Amino acid sequence: MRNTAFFSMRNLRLAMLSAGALVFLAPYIWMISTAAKSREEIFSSSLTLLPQHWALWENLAKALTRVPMGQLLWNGLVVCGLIFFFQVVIAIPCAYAMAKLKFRAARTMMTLVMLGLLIPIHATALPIYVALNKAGMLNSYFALSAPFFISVFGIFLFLQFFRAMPDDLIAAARLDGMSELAIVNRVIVPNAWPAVTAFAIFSVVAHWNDLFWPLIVITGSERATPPLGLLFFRAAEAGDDYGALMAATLIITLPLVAAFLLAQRRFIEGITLTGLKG
Amino acid sequence: MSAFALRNISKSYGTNSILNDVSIEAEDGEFIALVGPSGCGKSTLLRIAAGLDHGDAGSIWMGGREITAEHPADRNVAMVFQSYALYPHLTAEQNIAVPLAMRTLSTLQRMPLLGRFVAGRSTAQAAIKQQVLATATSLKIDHLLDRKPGQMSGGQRQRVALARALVRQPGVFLMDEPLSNLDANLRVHTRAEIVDLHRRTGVPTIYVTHDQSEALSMADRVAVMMGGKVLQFASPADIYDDPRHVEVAKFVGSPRINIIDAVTADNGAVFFSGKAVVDGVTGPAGTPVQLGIRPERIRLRPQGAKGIAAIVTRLEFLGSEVLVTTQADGAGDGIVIKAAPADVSHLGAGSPVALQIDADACLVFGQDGLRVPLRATARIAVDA
Amino acid sequence: MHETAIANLLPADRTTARQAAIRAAKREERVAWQLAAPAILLIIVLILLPTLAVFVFSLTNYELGYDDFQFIGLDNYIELFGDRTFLISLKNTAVYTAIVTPFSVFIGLGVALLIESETRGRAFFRTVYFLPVASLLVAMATVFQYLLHPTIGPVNAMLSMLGIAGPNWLGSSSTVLTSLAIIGIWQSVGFNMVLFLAGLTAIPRELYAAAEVDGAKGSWERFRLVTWPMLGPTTLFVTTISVINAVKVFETVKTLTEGGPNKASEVLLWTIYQEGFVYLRVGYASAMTVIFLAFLIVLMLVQYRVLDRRVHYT
Repeated sequence: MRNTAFFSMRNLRLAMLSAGALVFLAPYIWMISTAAKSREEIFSSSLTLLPQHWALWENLAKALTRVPMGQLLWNGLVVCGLIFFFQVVIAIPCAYAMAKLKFRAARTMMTLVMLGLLIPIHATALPIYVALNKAGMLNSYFALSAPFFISVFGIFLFLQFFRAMPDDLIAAARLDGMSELAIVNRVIVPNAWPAVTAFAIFSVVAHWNDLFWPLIVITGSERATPPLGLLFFRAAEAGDDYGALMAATLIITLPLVAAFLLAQRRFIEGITLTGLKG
Repeated sequence: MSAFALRNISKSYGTNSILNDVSIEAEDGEFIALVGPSGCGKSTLLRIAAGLDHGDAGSIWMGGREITAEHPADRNVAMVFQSYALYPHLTAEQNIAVPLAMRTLSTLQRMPLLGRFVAGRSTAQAAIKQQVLATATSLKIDHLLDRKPGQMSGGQRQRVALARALVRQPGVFLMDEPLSNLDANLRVHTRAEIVDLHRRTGVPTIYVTHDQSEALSMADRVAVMMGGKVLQFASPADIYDDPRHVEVAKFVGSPRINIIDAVTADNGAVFFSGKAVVDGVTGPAGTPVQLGIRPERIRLRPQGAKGIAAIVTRLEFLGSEVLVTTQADGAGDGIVIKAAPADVSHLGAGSPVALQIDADACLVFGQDGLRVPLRATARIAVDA
Repeated sequence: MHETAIANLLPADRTTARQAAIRAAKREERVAWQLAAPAILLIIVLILLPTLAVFVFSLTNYELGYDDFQFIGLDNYIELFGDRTFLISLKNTAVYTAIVTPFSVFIGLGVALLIESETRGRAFFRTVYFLPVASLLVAMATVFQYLLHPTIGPVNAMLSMLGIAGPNWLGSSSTVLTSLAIIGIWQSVGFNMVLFLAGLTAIPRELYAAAEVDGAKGSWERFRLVTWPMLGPTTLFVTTISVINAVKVFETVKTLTEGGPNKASEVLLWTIYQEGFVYLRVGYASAMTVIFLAFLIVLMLVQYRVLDRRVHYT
């Protein structure tokens, strides 16, 4: 091998990718590093990554005691679970009807779905907030999750998936004596797992990370979701105890990042579904 | 009284007629093949028979009972699909059990977890399991019962699909091109097995295919469909030797029948290449007709022998036989002859030959495509 | 004629078959309605009616807490275009979008091209660049706040090592939008990269071979001749999504700047949030929402138009 090979296109590419990767990873590296540093060290030497005195446990303890971290994570779980459950239970039968049954309203439904894809929660937030307020239902799991029970995107996604399922399969099920609801439950759903998982990841990531809607309907920390809880914590800590703040950040970021690292391919599939929304 | 009958079925989408007054019936233990080119309406007819689709007119009967208005699940019909339509998430055993479970277990018993505690479930399930095993064994797929469709070969899936249809002991078997997704070798093998299976069970069967050789080799009676109509419904031998319509003659047989445009002369004689090959055609002289002659019914003779003078244009060696294409006056696309290899070894492209045609090999069709009957006095002679 | 013959011969059969067909069709229709009913109901209640309500509210002076309100026609819209905050908000949103979109699209494309052509560490790099997409933005914004801290932040510490006095990134009105845009770019590159990677794998290998045979020697020529034109639909798509996501910027603003300093990071959704949910001026905020929705619809229409005309080659 000649020396010039070191500067080949290949190595240049690798160098560029690595440099970029470092930039993209930097926030995570500093998050972990800072979460392990004591307050004094954060103020004195911000460029050393390894702390001289490990303060990780103290910071984590602060984060865990000063915010009801368990409650936050639990709220996030409940809200995402409720949303996903209703989205799937409502979208799948509808998508099946649109994909496989002769149905005069199917065209109108398609228009409704396409229209729905255009309208984000930001556009409908005001009237829904006013209604929830009038009903005295703010600050509840219901207020957090109900506006998302319908996912037109879910309908759209399942519709595409069901259309690709063979008609013969449904004909066979009818001949075998299944009702349409039984077909949905026993034939369609068990064979729609790839679509359901991708949609689950899409839905959970979107609602776990959402700040806009929880900020509107939640005022106390009792029903706060993780992003909102982090905001409250920051406000309470006046934002200068970066060690504790980074520890809290670490705890809150960890569940999804860990899930992502474990099931990368599915995650990328699921999240990039957002792209289809356009 | 037929075991299963479709009577005067018509169906159209708007002005587009899919089925036009189609009647087919199967006697007890009879194997019926519905054959025709794609788009002839044969699959629609089968779906109507199953109740998956409905006609605009006509009725469906099973053993003297009208089932036209019955739901597919109540008709006691079993269907094998071209794509097999096995449930991908269930094992072979579960697939075969579905039609039984849907019929014998109550809704409550079928509930995923709750069902376990409903009375009578375990005995019913044991009975189902036994039936599934018996059917699987008879089809030699008992070793595949734990596999899912994705882990099976095409042939194995096909058998599971057959087993799922068979396990219910239905009133009629409907098969929609069940062999078309198999490779050529397996197809021929499975043909024999399906016929065998049919003979053992005795369940009347309606078998849809676009492959004429499949239809002729398997069925007791064949219905040839074209453009939404049944052109002929008869035994394979009759379909082949005695076609009622020129399209039937053209569709059945390989290589295809030779069709020659001709005009009748006095005495109903039909001339080909200046020679009368058959006479006794009814109707006035000067009627345009189509003359059909099967390739294996023409004999090659040396040049100058009695017959029609022709020139060999191409030889296709097929192993046990040779297809000889010849050109004669008045035969537009050439005449194809099926011959034994030994008989044509001396021939090459350009060889002059004489074609000997027996009058009883000639099928005469009118302009409307229907067979023209020959007078009883029709002479069997070739004018030389 | 034939039809009538059948009808005359077998009137009973004809009616049975017809009735069965009609009954089956009706049954199917009924089942379909039953299966779709919950979805239809919720689309109406949670999407159509609220959207309609936003339009209606935007014509009123409705404020939460006051029960009666009047229709005031287009007054809200007239007020909007004299409202300094709203105009600043529009301008800031436009500037933010104009920075984030090209950078996130082209960096996403660049990373995708590099990963596609580099066999080593493909999965690793894909994971790293995608990580920000899967991370909680509010949390990561907090990390960025530390990184960009004017005195104790590592970024300025590094700059000072190079002899540069770092700016007060999020605290100064001249740099705040840029700082937010950097976070926005960091967060969205991975998403665009994955879409581009999907687009790249869809390009048939033969086209590159053909380009080479036709004399396109360098990788740049191959890019110009094959990759860029074939990626047309993907690029348009990625661009539209990026614009829409940039217009919806909210999380980082709420977490880091709350529109400040001195309205320098006032963006559309933040303004709507303030007016509607903090000051509770529902009517006025609804008018803003209508404008926001109009933007989104125009963007989608532009995408459909361009997609129809230009970038599909089939």
